[in-house]
Amino acid sequence: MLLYGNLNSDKTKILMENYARLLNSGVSAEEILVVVQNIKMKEKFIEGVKKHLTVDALTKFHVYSFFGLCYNFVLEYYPLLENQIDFGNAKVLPNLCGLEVSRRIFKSAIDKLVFKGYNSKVNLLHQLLRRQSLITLNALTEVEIAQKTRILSESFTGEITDALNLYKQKTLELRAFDYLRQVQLFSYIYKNVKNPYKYVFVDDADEITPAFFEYLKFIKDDADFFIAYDPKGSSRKGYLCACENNFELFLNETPVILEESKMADEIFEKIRARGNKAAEISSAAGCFQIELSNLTQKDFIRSDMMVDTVVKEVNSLVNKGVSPGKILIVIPVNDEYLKLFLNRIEAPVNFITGSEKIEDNKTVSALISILKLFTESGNYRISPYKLKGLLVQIFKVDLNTAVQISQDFEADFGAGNLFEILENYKETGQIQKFLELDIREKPLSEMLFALAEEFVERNSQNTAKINGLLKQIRDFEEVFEDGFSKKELLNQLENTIIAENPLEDDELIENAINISTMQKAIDFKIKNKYMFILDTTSQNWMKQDIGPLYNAWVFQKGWIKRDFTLKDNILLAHDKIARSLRKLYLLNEGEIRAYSCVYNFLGIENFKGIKHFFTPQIPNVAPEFKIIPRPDQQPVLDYKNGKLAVMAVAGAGKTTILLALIMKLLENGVRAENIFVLTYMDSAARAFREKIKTCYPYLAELPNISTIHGLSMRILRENNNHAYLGLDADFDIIDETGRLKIISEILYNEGIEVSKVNFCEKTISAYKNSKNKNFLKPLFKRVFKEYQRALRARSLIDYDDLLVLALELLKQNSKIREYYQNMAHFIIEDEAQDSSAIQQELINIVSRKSGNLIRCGDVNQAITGTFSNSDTEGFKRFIKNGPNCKMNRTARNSTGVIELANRLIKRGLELSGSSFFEIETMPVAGKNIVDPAACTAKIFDKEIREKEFVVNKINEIFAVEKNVTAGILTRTNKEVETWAHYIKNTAHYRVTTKNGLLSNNFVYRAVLSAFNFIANPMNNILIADFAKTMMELGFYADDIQIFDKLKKTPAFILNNNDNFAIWWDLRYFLELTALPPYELAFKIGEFYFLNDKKRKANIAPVSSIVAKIFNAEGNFEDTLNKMNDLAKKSGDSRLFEEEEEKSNGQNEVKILTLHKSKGDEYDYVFIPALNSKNLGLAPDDIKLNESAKIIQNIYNLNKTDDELKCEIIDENLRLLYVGITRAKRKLYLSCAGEYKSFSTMKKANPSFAFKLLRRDL
Amino acid sequence: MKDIYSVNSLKTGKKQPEFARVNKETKRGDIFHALTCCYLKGFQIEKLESALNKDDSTVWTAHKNSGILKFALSADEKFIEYSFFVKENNGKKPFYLAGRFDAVVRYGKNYTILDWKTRNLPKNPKEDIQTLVYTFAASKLFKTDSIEIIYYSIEEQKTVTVPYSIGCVEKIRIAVNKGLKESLMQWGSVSQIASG
Repeated sequence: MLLYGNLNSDKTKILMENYARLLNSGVSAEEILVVVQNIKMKEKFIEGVKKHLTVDALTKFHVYSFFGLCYNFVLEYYPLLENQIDFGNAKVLPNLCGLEVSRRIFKSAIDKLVFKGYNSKVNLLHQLLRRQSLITLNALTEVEIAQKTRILSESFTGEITDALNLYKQKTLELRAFDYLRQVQLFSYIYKNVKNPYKYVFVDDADEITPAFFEYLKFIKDDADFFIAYDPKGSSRKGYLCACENNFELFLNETPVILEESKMADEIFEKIRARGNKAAEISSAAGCFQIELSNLTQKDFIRSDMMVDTVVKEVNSLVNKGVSPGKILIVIPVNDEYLKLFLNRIEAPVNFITGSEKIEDNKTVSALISILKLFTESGNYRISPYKLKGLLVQIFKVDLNTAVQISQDFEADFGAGNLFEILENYKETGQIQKFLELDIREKPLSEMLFALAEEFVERNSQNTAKINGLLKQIRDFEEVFEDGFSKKELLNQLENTIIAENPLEDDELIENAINISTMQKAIDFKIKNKYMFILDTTSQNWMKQDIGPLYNAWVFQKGWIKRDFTLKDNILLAHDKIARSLRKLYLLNEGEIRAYSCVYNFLGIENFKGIKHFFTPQIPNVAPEFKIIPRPDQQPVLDYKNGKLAVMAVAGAGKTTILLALIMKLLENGVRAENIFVLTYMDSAARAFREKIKTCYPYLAELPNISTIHGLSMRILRENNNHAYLGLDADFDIIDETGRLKIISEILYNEGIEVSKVNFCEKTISAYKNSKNKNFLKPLFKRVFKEYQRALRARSLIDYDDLLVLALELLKQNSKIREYYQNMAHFIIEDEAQDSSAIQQELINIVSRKSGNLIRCGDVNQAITGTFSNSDTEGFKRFIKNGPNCKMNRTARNSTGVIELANRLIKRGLELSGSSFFEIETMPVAGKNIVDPAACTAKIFDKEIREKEFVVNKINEIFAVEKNVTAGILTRTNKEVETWAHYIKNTAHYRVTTKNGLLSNNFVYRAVLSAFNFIANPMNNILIADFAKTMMELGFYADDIQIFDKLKKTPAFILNNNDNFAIWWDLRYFLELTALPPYELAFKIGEFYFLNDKKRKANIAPVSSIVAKIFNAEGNFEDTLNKMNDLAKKSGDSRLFEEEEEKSNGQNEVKILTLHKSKGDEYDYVFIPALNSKNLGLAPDDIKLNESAKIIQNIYNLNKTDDELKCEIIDENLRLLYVGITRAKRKLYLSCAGEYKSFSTMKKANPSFAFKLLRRDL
Repeated sequence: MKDIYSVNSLKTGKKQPEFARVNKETKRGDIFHALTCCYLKGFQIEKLESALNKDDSTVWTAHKNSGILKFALSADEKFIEYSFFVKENNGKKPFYLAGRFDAVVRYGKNYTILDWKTRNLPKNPKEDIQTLVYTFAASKLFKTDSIEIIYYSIEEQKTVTVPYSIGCVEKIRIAVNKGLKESLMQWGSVSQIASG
């Protein structure tokens, strides 16, 4: 019998009825095989069959998942296998074990082999397992594997084969078979025993793997078949290895066609048609869009906004009486933060996410820590943070005692015998019971069992997880007996994903809201009335699984092509998502709400996804953006095509006009996906995106707006292009601290002074950016090679690699190049003066086909560092060699400021011909403040006089004016701090610093401050710090007396101080230390900022920063140290701008560096400390350092010292130009005759700028 | 599948999840069971036997040569590791009993259930829930009253035999009812926690 029908048809019911009919007619259940997709379906099937049974006694149902079938075959026929294995020790029962055992076996295999060109051992292990999975489930023969290997032209084929063979050999020797080996053994067994089944039922036959189909083929002539198949099914294609099969041919039978869904099939056809178009590398935008009558779409900028809406809507549905079980929330990927946010849903919730890390379950994680205490006794330094957590959580110790114990433990550092310390606290909680446990000499599994029995509450979640862990440990004990290190095993278990989630059906709460990944929702057939599809612009919907060693498409059994191209990848990825979305749609019996956001929780912009498959809902509102261009701006808006250079002076309205141009292109029908906008900073890209999103909220895709690094990242990630470079899918960018750490280690090993680390870092960067590929010195060559090796081993690349590798891909792979060239109809580059040579090359390649390239910038504001990799000359040539327009008017500055800026350019050019681009800034008629005396220059004898001058001036201005901003622009970050300190102590108006330091972020500061307390709760000073910080952030205004109290009360937190809100809250955080630190960080963020519309956005990103550090450091205490260090470093670009707009009428002082002031404007500008050291304009002012020279050498420029000095002078001139042009009304330049440097006063000379700018000169 | 009962779930009376206890003893029991089963099924087991340590090997050899195995081997028909799934009514509501016999052998019209114990035999075999369930299930499955169960201690080579008694089904119903009550109570508390 062959049934064709989708998951809503009666196919399963018909199978059940036929199965029951056979049983009722007296056929033994042992003669009938039923294979369903998974355990959940198995239970449903048996449940359904029960209703149709008329016989009341049967033998065992042979209803299995495919893996269950294999498992049972191996157990049933094990003696046959054992008799075939002629090495190793015989066993009565095989070890049918989990993947952890295989991981260890693979690890020892890898240790024996060298994989050429594949350095990341962590991933290697993972990839080998995946490859083994592909080979097994696709039932590939040796010949097929060899063919595929050739198609992928892998350089390490020999090593892979060796590793897989070693693994196979070892599993046989140990009689240890994971589920994949069980599949392989199954295929041996069924060929060698009599087929026990007369009837074979297969439900969801579209999701079966070739390994199973091979079995069906083998028993074809001995059995009657009942097969239910969905011809457009196979959602598990790709890495899960589902295959389409021609069952009509197989059974030589015409199918009975059951219910079909036209709409679902349309989804399938249209997405595939789009795939075809996209694979032809022609634009698929707007084509084949699906219109669903029951679909509502909403769009948000940040994901926290999206989740707020979902939580609100779900709660309202439940309140209206909708049964929670009818609500399904589908998420693109198992996202920790989504989980944490969705916890605010006021109904029971199931998370069905496929897999779970063991650390995620805090009970299991605590038990592992206790096991470590036993197995490593004195040697294991349990983190005091973790200790507090498990004392409270597992041993039910009260908080005060828990703090005391961990305090004692820390004080005892070194000697550190926790058990002895615990002896003193016998009477609290369940410590006595713990100390009396006599399990030290027992095997690990029995230790765990005893602990669980004594201390863990039995509920379905805990029991399933702990039993899973018990099984893993027992596997180890069985297989390796004493030949494994308990410590290693515990570490391995801690760090790997061991559990399917849910592990068992009864873990799921009945009638709860299901939050599930798409695949799990399909696998478990979660029918629903309300389906929320979240984050529809996430690229994770169409994540493709190809990578080194692992290409799910080529490894498909049926792959017959001789090569694998980008086109195949696009086609197949679309095919898979078409199948999945069709099934997902079929699960819904009511309405679908699909929500998207521009940024994910971590602040990273989404792109692609599935939103563009559906017809957008266009609201009837006209875009809000309007601009009346000035004549000097008009040429930009008149742009049609080709190249255009836009040279814009400071304040000319460059950003606004570019935005207007983008809007115009969109309105003229250019597809968003065909517009590429490149900005210099992430913040600028964000501003562009948010403005466009506000004007066109329904756009399925925004134009591609990113930094050049963002574009490079996309080129590497999109369509899994990184695989062509041999990079693993999980490659990441190394951060600055990580980079310095690696370089320091290399220098140390090479016996080089570690103080050279910064120099070395610059040299590496310059080397990567330069075309000169000759190594300077053998020593540098070694350092460089070691550095590259270290990155690769960790699956990391650095920022320079990002560009270099993207360029390499574009140059070497014509398909990838065409893909982007065909997509990029228009490229608009902002801040073009700062582009490096590599960036310009990349932009040139991408824009070559369309030829439409707009580069916009101000050469006179090129201040990113003479010795950075920027190449302003490139932009100058672009201006010179093609059409260009000059936006030379500004309404920003008062006339006096404009005059001074023009004077600077004129005199600067006299001083050095290469300093400026000759352009005269003009005011906009009738717009600028007319003030010939807008600029003042002052030279003081003492630093304090200068400071007083600035503050007095500000006081004077603020006394009479409202709603104005004064900017103090300094040369260094340190000066920002000094000024901020000085002004905050003397003035009483709003002062903000823009130093970009992480510690300036509210959420980060709150978390850090609370963490510092948690690490040392008895220390009142830390509590005072916390109170101070939080009060600065606007909390606990009523707790002001706490400082007094803290002075008087030792161990404040342990005493009853319940009249302070801080006391309650800190104790609350302290009790949460059973959570992993990043989750606690999230809770703290949520606690304070959940109702703060702006800052809320940073809760998840800050938590992710903590998670990243925690993953590297491994414990709370080291994580905290690193966090304290990071606080003083510049912030993370993923964090959202959280600065509050100053309220109307309020005055404000902003303090920041000249460099950071670019793009900003202030009513009054102060540039103090303009001395020859800070702003040298004469050759004698400039001191060249060694690194500058060497880096010049790398670029093969061989400049003389004088030439180098000249470049620095040029840039100083431009820096001054930037500073001057910030002033809207008045400008104050000043300096003093001496400055405090550390604790001594140093003489200083005024910068030559004072003379240069004199009007009478 | 809350209406399916096993001997274990009836014995403990509640369907609360348990931590999985495995130790050397239970492992040893599994090995003897597996060997017995393979032997009765007619597999070549010399290789498997070589895996036993000296003590276990002695126990096994004695078991292999015991009368009970000879009795099993020479039966007219044998059902080794044979599962059952039996439907019964409890008032109007059906419930199901599921489990697996180590072996059932037939001589003529008489069926004998064989159950291997590593050491200890049931203390009160007549009233043991396993006796009730197994004999009842076999009676249904093989459609006969001519059923007995033999518990056999492998280490001590002792046997206990209990014949099928018609009244066993009532006793099973009582156990099921008791279990239902307890599991209902438990479900109540779970849903309370969930909604709270």
